[in-house]
Amino acid sequence: MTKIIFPKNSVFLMTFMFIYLSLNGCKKESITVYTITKEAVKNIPVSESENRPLHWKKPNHWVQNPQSRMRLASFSINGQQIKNAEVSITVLPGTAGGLEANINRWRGQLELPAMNELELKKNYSNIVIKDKEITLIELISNNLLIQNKYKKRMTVAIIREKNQIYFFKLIGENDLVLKERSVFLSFLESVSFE
Amino acid sequence: MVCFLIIIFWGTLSQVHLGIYLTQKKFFQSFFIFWEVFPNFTIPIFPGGRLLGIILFFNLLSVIYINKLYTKKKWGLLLIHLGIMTFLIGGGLTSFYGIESQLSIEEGETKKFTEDFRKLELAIIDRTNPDFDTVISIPQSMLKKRNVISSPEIPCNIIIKSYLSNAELSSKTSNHFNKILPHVSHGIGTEIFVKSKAEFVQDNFVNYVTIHAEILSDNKSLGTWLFSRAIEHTQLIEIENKQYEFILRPVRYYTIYDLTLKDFRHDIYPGTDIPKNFSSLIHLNDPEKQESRDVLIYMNHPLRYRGKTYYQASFGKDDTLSILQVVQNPAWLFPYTACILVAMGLLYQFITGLVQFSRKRLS
Repeated sequence: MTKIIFPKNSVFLMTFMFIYLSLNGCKKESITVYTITKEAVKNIPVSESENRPLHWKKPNHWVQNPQSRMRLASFSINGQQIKNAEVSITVLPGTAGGLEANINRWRGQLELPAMNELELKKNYSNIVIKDKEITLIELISNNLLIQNKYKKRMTVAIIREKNQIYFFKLIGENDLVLKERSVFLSFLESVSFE
Repeated sequence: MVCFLIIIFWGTLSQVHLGIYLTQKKFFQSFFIFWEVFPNFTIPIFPGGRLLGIILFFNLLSVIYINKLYTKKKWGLLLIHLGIMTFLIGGGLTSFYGIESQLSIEEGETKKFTEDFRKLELAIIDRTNPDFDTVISIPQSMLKKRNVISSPEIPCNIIIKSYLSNAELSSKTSNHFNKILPHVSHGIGTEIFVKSKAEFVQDNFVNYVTIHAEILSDNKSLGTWLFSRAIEHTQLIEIENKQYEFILRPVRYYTIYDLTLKDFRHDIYPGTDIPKNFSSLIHLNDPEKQESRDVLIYMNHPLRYRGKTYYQASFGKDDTLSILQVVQNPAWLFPYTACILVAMGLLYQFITGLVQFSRKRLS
């Protein structure tokens, strides 16, 4: 009768393999780093604004960012080193929470304390640009919010059109936003609704 | 074996509430089945599929030794036992190393990655190199712990301030909105209101995992950002004068070849809405193997390529989007091997039995 002899070690080996395989599945996931071939970044061409409810003329030095679900468009303005700014366009239906609530929200972003209704009236002004009534809000942080070096500034223009509110927000390093303010107002002038 | 029967029966019933994926995780891919006594307090109440599999494996191994199945007379039984053990090993390997993902592709679109919609990653993408992009992937399990994520592989430290397993994001405001997450200072999150929602367990619902994170560079805070599965685009963050794109997205598995959907067909029987055929005409392009060909994927005719199998699974967007289920299972040969072993064992037992019976009859 042929007898197959199992080496003792093989049992241990199989046991070890099985336990190893069983426990290996419990190992912690870790951070992985890999390289991929260059991906095409889906930037919205300027012409795409034609499909949107409003049109604008983008200043040449503004760089259009990838499309976002919450924004109609956004642009980056690159300054020197960390002195950057961003322009975003969002649209909200109805009252969008009310002007005062929104200003307090933006004040919060600049780490400024919330204000009551009377005090808030000093924070905005109404202007008319090319037959468009615009509410303009200008806020500046007290603290050095950009890498503890620079103050942050925000200029928000609100335009009401057909039961919707359009927010045009210029936010970034204080000096750059001040410098870009006139360009931003020209940009608002170029905005037209369908 | 009784325990196996119980968890199979129990798991089958649980599929109604938990869905297939969670049932598999809870009952079959676990060492113990846990019962949540209080929120965040669970106790093991029954052995899970993984533990029972190990016990059964050793049980079979012991049977081989104790009953000396390795003697020539009992080779048939040995093969049957080895076959069942191969099944168990295969099942174990599949649960550890098998990867299931999806390829969601629109007509005319080319993709070289598949996505696992059940797992998320916080991807940090560096596109500064002109030749390639570098992706740093932080797994969802690390984000869930709400700790400080710090590693030499990432250019910053990330403090997970809050983690919502499902959330509703909205531009609209309401009284109770915006109170769930702490203040968000940068990015698109500054314009979004977030409301926590109960996590879906059913397979056909998507959980919009949302996190609120503080980014630190050189121990200095750069601000706080909101990342959510509902935000489908990247957010630019500058760290040490370098731009990085951050996005919370389904885990991606990149391939060295790319696939283009040329045409998706949804044929129906004339005069009815009854589907007759779903098929995807895919163009496969593999620069490494210099392979460039069209492949038609349809029912029971998947594409098998470089260890991955692409099955037609679903469709959408007025029949212009095809969804392919992609399975990568390095242990796919185990069930076949196990079947062959068991069949050989049964055959051996049958033949030896027959021979013995014939001999007895002749004598």
